[in-house]
Amino acid sequence: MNHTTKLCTATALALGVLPAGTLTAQESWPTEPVHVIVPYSAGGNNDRIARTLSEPMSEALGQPIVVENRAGAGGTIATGEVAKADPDGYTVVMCEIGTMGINPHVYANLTYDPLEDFEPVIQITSVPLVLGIGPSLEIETIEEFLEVARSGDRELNYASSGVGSAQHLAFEYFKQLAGIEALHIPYNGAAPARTALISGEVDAFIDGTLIPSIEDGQVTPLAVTSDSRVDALPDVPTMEESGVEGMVYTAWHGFCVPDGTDAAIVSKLNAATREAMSKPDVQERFAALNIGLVGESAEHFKSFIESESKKLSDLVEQAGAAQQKQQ
Amino acid sequence: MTDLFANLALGADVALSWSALLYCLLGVTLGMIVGVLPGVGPLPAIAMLLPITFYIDPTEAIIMLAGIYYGGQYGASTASILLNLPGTPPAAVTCLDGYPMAKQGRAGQALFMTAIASLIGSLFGIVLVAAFAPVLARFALEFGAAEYFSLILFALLGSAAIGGDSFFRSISMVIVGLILGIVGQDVTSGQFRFVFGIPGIADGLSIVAVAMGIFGVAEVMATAHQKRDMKPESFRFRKMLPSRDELRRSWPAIGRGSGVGAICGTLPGAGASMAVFIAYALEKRVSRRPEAFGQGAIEGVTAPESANNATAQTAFIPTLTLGVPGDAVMAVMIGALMIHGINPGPGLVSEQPQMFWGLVVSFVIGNAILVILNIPLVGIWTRLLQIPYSTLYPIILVLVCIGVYSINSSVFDIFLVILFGIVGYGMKLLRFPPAPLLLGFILSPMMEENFRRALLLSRGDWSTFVTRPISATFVGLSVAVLLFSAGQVLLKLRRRDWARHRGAPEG
Repeated sequence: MNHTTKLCTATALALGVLPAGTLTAQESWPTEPVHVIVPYSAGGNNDRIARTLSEPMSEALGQPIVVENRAGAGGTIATGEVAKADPDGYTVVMCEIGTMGINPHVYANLTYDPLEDFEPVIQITSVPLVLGIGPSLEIETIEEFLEVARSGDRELNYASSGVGSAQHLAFEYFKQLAGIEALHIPYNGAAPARTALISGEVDAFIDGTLIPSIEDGQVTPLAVTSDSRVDALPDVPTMEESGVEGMVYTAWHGFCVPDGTDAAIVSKLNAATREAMSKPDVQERFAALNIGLVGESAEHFKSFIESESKKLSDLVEQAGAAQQKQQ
Repeated sequence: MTDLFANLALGADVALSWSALLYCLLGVTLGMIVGVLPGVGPLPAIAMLLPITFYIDPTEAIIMLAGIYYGGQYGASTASILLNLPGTPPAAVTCLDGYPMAKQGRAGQALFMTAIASLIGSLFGIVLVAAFAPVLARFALEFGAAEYFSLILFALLGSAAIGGDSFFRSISMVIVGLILGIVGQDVTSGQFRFVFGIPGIADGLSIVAVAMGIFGVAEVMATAHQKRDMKPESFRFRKMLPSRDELRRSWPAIGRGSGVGAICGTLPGAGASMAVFIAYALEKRVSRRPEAFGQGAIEGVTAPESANNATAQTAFIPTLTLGVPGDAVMAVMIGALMIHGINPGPGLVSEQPQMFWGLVVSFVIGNAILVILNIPLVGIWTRLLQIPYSTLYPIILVLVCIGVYSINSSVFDIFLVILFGIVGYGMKLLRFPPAPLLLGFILSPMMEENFRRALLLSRGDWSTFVTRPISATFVGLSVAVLLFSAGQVLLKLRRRDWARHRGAPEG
């Protein structure tokens, strides 16, 4: 019985068919369903984060949250659309290191400016990446990996989820700091790249979704890119511990709204997200995926994006990933 | 073997509980409905229902979501047969002979045999999932970039046999499809190609818009053009039971289709589109009357339908045992599991036996429900054809527009479907087959991506395609198809010569 009632409510929420008012004043916001745009296809980390938060957030806001996937061109299409949406608080975009931090330095014809066109709401996550190797290399430590790479006995390959992706940039940065060579093999998303790693088609991959494959023994973790060890992999050293000085790199996700959105709405949205993030079952789900939760204020996120943008701009240049820009 | 039965008993225990049965019924019914609606497809339905699954037991959640997925495969064939509207890209192949059958007043038989072929294909797939999942998953990992490229090459050349008499017309359509598939952002370099600053195509042309345009909308235009001269008597509701001859020709087709489908489903990334085209091409090749294909041959419906459904079941093999999703729907499925703290991978079967075997048994139940639901519906569906065109076609066009829009929430895609409707109509007038174009278009990005990746991995050495055994096999098969087709063309030309010399009229 309880199941059925919940099922009905959730269906109504998911379809966004609950009655909606017409008021738009910021004090009474929200009076309509709030749309969260995920600029990637369903099934990735962005999607998982938005959907996990949607239910507890709609409880906090008293309005349904409708999650919409609008994938395309590395997330830039949907992000550009939201930049031009009405700043009324009813259109929220999932923003992350790729769309907000890396793409502006990679794509020449971007239709939005991450710093000018958006009002950051909250930083939701900070996701440490893991350097993992597959069955093509019979080694167990980062030291051995660097040795193989430096010896020049064989040319190493590494996978990424696409040109200009967080994973691509991370590995290029790693190559720079470690002084090694490896050939970039781009895949169309993290899942096919992971498959290639597991099957031995490529040698290495730096990614944030490797934990399950590590637990299954398909992938050997060599190092993590965070500044301290992570709970999910207590025996795996950080890059810095292993002698790769300065190799600290984390992916992140958050919510943004179009520039010009009322500050009262931004703070309500920030509070609702934080409330959702504080729920034990939500924290449990994120912990299982090795996704670290951040929270904090809208101002914090704004300055965080600004500092990341500067850092990533240098990184893109060093990594030579900005092919588009030269056109 | 006793293990297998013990496992299935465990699964039955899970899948036969009242709540599991309810979610299974809910899933397959919903799947069938969204499958019938042009363009909606299982993905939006699954994505929409994902939040609900937080509240229910993970096994029941996955049973329901899986039901939507394979239920959608049943539904998609209905609109293809009755209206020439492929709701999902793989269903386009079902149009080729299913729609001619409907035009001849044999819609009932086509739908009935589709249900049977789907059931057998599914059951075959389920047996493989139950008995050989881990073995097959290891086989799938043998497929690298070079193997995928050669497999696609083979699929494309094989499909050129589909489009009717002329190999050249077909192969030229494959090439047009390949070119259309280049539009959008290139994965390897990140460059935009043929985008002309239009954001709506920055990520490529929408597959569903192209498929529904060149099949469905083109058909609506062609029928409107012919006025209504073929309607009255041909659409009579007849007995839906197939003739003995049709049955006899269907069984081997279903067997071959199931086999092809099962192989393609196991390979993450090969998918149903490739499976149905290969199954159809294979059927036409082995048939003693290839000329009947495209004119309403029952094998042309049953082979791809069994392939399609075998793929839908075996697609769970890489998804569950490797954590590798074959398509977007499977990616969402993995997401649903992970939200519940279940990580798909080699450990899944041993760590979550109740979930895995419960799911396997639910497949059988779900497919049985689908057949029970579908067969009485055949009568209702065929009546749909009695609606006058002036009423039916505007409704179809509206449904097509809604369906295309719903996929990416993109208005631009509606214009795209209209544009491809006009292109498809032009192709129809010039007798260029649409199916090879669609396959070329669907496989183009994958083919290029794997081709370039294979050469990247081999550091530019072309021999990688023939030194790897699986890849070499497919290259060999492709060459064989090419030689065979060339031989047929020569033979036809020579026959014409003979006919002319003797002064006899051409057959």
